Order: sequence, then C-alpha cells, then structure tokens
Amino acid sequence: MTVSIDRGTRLPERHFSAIGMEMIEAYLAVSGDDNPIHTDLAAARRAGLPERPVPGLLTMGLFGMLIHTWRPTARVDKLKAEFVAPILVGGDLTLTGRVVARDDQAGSAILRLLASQANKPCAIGEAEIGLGGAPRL
Amino acid sequence: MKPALVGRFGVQASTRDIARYSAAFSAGEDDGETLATLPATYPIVWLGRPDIRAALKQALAYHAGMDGAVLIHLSQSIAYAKPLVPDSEYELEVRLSAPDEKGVVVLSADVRRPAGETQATLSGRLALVTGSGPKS
Repeated sequence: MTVSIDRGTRLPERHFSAIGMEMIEAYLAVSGDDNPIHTDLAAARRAGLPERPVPGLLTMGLFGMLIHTWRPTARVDKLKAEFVAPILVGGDLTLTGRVVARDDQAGSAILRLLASQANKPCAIGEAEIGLGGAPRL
Repeated sequence: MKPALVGRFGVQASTRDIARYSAAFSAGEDDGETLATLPATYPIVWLGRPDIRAALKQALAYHAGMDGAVLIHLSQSIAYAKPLVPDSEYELEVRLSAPDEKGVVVLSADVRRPAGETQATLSGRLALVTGSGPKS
C-alpha cells in the first residue's frame, strides 16, 4: 500500500479511551524510570498533580509508534516533544499527526504531532523523517 | 556554564530488548516484528540503566543540589546522524547542565561508535519539583 506523504496528509489517529496503569507499568519496566510520581498517587499529589502522570517519554515513544504504524519504513532523523501539560492516568489520550512540509530535494518531510487528553493539548511533537526509506547505515 | 560530564558508558540493545520496548507501546502485544534499526526513542531508555541512573543522581546532587528531588520532563529531543542498529556497541556520553533560575536542568547525551563518530544526540529539559510543587 502506498502511503501519501504530501503536505497536509494526516496520520491515522490513535485513541485510548482510558490510560491504565498496565501500559505505564510496562513502560517503566523497560525504561528503568523509577520516578515515584508515575506510580504513587501521594507522590503525584505532593508534586501538585491530582493524579499520576503518564511518563513524558512514554508519550514520545507513542509518537514514534504513530509514525511507524503509518509508515513502517520511515527513517526518523529527528524527533522532539514538548510536554505542555500532564497526561493523567484514567483519562483518555488521542494521538494525531500531519505532514506540514515536504522537501523532495533533501528527501525529507516534517511531521507535526499532538497528544491530547480531553481535547486539551498535552504534548506537542515534531519529527523529521527521511523519504528514502532505506536507513543510512 | 559548560555542562558537567556525568560519564561515558558502554551501551547496546539486543533484538530482545527492542521487542520488549516495542511491546510496551502495544498493550503488551509482541507483534513479532524484527527491526533493522532501533526505535527512534529507544536510546532514551539507556539513561534509565541502573549504573547510569546512579551516576545521574550523584551528578544532580553534586552539581545541582537536587538530592532527593523529583524531576519532571519538560521537553526531549533526539537527532540522528545515522540510525542505530541492534547488537552493536556504542558509547553514551552523558552531560548535565547546572540548573537555571527556575530549577531547570538540561540532560544531554551523545551516542557514539567506539571509534568516536557521533550517531545520535539526545537532549532533555527537566524541572526540579519539590514537595511544594515546581520550583519558581
């Protein structure tokens, strides 16, 4: 299947109706992140949050998976994310993305990514992907 | 002020490590896919390795006076000069900036081949959070 990467193309949206601890614990197990605010409600409240927050890097990893699901052969040259609001356990999560620029001469495209909870932006990402597909090994 | 060197660490990722990492984003399902390169965000996981984490905590306590504080990620980036591949050895050079007036530190790292060629660069901004909320 050919995947369009023209400017304005939207990546398939990914929606989680409720973020559970199962996903967070699976991520913490592989990441080594031992920050107690992600697992301990009291620690989260001491940090001024009403609920445990999803690790920002899990959200960033989900951005990576969003790109990979859309275009499995994409070579991600750059990926950045700004975590503007906490994504809280128990709430929903929607991941979206779109192509905002394409440079055929450079062989690259820029994607704008967004993670939102209850329609509120929580993480804003940007990725530069190579259009060639084959990795530069 | 120039960031302080936290340390240089040997790192690598096996195909099994990568499969576990990828499964964490798909509700525990392993799709059996074998990737030729590491997932874009995988190198960040190396910063959570116990020895690297211990060095980071020591550096935070020594350079930033953040002993026992909770850190919250504000932003993170990773840029590749070349993709990283499974089962290859790399050197991870980790650096930490002094906190700014808001208690924000920059944690950066270069992933290099043993010969010294930089393959990827990571940079994250983290805020110090005390028991009374973010430092202001």
